[in-house]
Amino acid sequence: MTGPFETLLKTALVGTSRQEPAAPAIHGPLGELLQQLAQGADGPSERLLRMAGAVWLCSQAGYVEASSETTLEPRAPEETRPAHDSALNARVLKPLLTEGPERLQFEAFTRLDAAGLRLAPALLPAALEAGRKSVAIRPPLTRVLGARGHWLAGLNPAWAYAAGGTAGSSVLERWDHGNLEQRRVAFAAMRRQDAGAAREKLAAELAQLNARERADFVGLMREGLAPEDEAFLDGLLKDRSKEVRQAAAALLMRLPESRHGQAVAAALAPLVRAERGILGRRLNVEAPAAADPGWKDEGLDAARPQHESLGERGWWLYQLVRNAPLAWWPEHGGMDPPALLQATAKSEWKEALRRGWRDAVLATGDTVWARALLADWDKKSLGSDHAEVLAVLPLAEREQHWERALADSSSGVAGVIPMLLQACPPGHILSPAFSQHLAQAMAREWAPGINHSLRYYIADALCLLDVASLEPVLAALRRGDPGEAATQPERIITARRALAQLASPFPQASTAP
Amino acid sequence: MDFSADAVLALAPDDSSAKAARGLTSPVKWPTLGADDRAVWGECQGSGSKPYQTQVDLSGPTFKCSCPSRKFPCKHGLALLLIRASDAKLFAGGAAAPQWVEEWLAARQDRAERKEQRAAERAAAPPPSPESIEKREAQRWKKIEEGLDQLQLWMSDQVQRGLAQLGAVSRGDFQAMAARLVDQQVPSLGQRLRDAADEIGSAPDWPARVLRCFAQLQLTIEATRRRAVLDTAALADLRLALGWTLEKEEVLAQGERLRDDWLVLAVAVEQRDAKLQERRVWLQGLASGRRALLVDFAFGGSGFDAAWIAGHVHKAEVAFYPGAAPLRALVAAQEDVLPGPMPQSEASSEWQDAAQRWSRNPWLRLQPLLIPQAAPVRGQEAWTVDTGAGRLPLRIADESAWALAAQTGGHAVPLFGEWDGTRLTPLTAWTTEGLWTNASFA
Repeated sequence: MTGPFETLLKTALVGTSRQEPAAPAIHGPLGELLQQLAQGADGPSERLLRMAGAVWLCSQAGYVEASSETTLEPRAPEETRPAHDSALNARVLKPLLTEGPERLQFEAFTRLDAAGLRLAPALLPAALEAGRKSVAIRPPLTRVLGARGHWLAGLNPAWAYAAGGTAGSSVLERWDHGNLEQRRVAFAAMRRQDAGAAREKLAAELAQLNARERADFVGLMREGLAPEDEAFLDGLLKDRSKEVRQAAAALLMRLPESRHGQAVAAALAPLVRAERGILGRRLNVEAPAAADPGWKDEGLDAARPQHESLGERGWWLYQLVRNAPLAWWPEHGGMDPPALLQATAKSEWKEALRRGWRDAVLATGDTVWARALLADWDKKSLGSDHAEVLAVLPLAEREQHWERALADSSSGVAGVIPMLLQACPPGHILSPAFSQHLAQAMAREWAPGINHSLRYYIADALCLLDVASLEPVLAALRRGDPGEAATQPERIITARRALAQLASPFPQASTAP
Repeated sequence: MDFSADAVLALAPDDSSAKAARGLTSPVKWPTLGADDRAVWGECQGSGSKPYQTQVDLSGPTFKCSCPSRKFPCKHGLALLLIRASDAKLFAGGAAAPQWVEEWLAARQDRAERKEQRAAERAAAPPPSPESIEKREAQRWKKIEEGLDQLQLWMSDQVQRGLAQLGAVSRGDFQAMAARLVDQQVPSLGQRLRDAADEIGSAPDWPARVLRCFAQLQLTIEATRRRAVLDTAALADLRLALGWTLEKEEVLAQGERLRDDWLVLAVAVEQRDAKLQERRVWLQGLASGRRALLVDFAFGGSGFDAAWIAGHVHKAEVAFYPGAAPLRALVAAQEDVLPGPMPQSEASSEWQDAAQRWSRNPWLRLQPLLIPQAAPVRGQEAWTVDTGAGRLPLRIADESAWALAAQTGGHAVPLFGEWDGTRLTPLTAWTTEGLWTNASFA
């Protein structure tokens, strides 16, 4: 049933030149007025407009809300945690949510979580937007969203990553019904609970996943990796996707007695001979003369890529070395890793060996080999960027390297910071001692208009330092040019100090983040 | 006015100004700082050789700065107040105000005195002869009628050809007609036509919106033609709708006065065109239960004088513009400002009042509507509120809507907004997390 206004609208749409306006039929005084207006002396357009005026005024005055066809969404549940002090909102939290940097956001959420606090509701949209743009901050963010944050995320598809993340929904539910992000989290949790059952679940679903997802989940099997996983991973060596094959091979290398490892070692054995000569032990390494068809079954890639510095044989050797268990080398060669490196220093196949060993270190996280490679770093084979290998070592050890780099660097702090930024994920804070040295170096080098590269990095670099060491940098910023370049760093320092003072309102033994 | 850091940041014209102001709060950048009970001043080292001279008259607050920024207030003015909020001792040097501060304050004092003097002169001067008043008014009505005649022809033309024919190209046509109305001294109708132009193609029901706008304009045209038979109150409402407002002095002289504790329900600032800003302040008299609307304009970025903030109560006397359902008002005298309570209301009486106002003043564009219990709801296409009795469509930007959802948690709260007959523009909500205000109208 169309209302009187809609009736007039129809005529107005097609035009009074095509349709004569008629008075909508209504009982009572309004209807009578409309009849009068319809019969007026003026043109059809004027008559229509007058009728529209009368109908519109009466409709406005008599407005009644539309009834709710849909039921209301559930409202936000009660909170279990208190929110932080609102004094932090405008000056500290809002700017860091909208302007970053990512590391500062990570730290803010981590500290809020450690203090047992949640984000104030007014900040939730900005926080959810920050999490939408940056995957790295999502883990600590989801812990401080509070019941309201998860509820809000559920309303907006763009924020689905944070929806339904409360302790309520079970791991199994999330595995069965969640989006990719939620399933990854669920899978990791399942592996912790019962690694075997998790593997079975993945195996059952494997055919329905695409290559990217398969590789993702295989990577997650690193959690709780055990010899029981070998059979499953072995099967994946024949997967269609190269990414999946490599992920499986990397995990198999961590299983000491794996069939795959032994097969590769067996392929290598004839090519590597330890000899005792007059000058001590030597390692004689030969590259394969031909590609063995059996390699394919082991997930080895025999096809040499286009722009590869290694020749065909070198490439084959590299493939074998990168998949061989690192423990095999000292056994077979009778030397420890540093000696092995030295013994092959003049080998024709040095590049293949070094690259293969490096890849193996990255796949397995072997610290002994990492140290050896770093101590005897071959720039020609491996390039000058050793950040990835360095990342295998524990933090305290890495700092020694960085301290040395800082002292040696001719380009000052800017030579070291990019390395630090690449190596340290959000949430990593450097030791107080190293932070002090870095802060002093940064303070010395901060000068208006001179050090351009420091300006690029300083925002992120400030987030790496131990909070107590920030003073000299702040002093340098304030002494310097009162221009725009100092604004962001100052804001970051002020924010970090404020966050460091966050304390739970309840007496609690808080573990320092 | 409360000069806490949060209140100062709230005066910023936009986020980037607030950010820039925060960046200038280091005392090192301010070689000179001083204050007395009238004003706060300072000199800020910028990128040039001569520092910028910034000052704030605390009675407004009103800002003045020698920097070239066109924003109002500029980042220097905001930064000055932020520094004072965090460390007032820095201003206590005791030195007398420098010449450039004294000059400005004196000039302001001068202007205020001259304004009062002129008003007194006008009040004391012999009233213009009734003949000359009549002549001026007749001239203006003639111009208005000419404008409305053109509008009638133009609207009839649109309806004759059919609204279905309107497209993006037609917007220019609407804008041109709007400009002609401004020339004929009916700028408010021009604004309505510009709003209608924006509706073309904007939503599935846009033709209905355009026809509604035409219908309202038609009522104005009819009334103007028959103004001889309208009573004084209706005539006053018509003139308001046409944008032909009375002078402030006339309102103060003739208008109904009401002294009350006025709760600020909402403050909405809208850009009217490149240089003009309109500010609407909606008030609720706590004792009388009456509503009032203050409307001010600011030209060329000069900013608005007094600071009205949602949720505060102003002890004041207002003067209503004459009309059949008085709503628009001026402040005649003002005293203290205090934080205010949550407004109380009954849904049924709100709708009754709205219906009454429209029946008495058919040309009223916006109704002040307070929904006692409104829960924001995200629909497929748009946001609505559930009032308990049904759903009301909202006119709200996404960003503001998410803020409202976050602060209410979907719970029903008192919500105040402007009702235009089909959609509610929410402006203020009283939530357990504090006051929500619509950021698009800040």
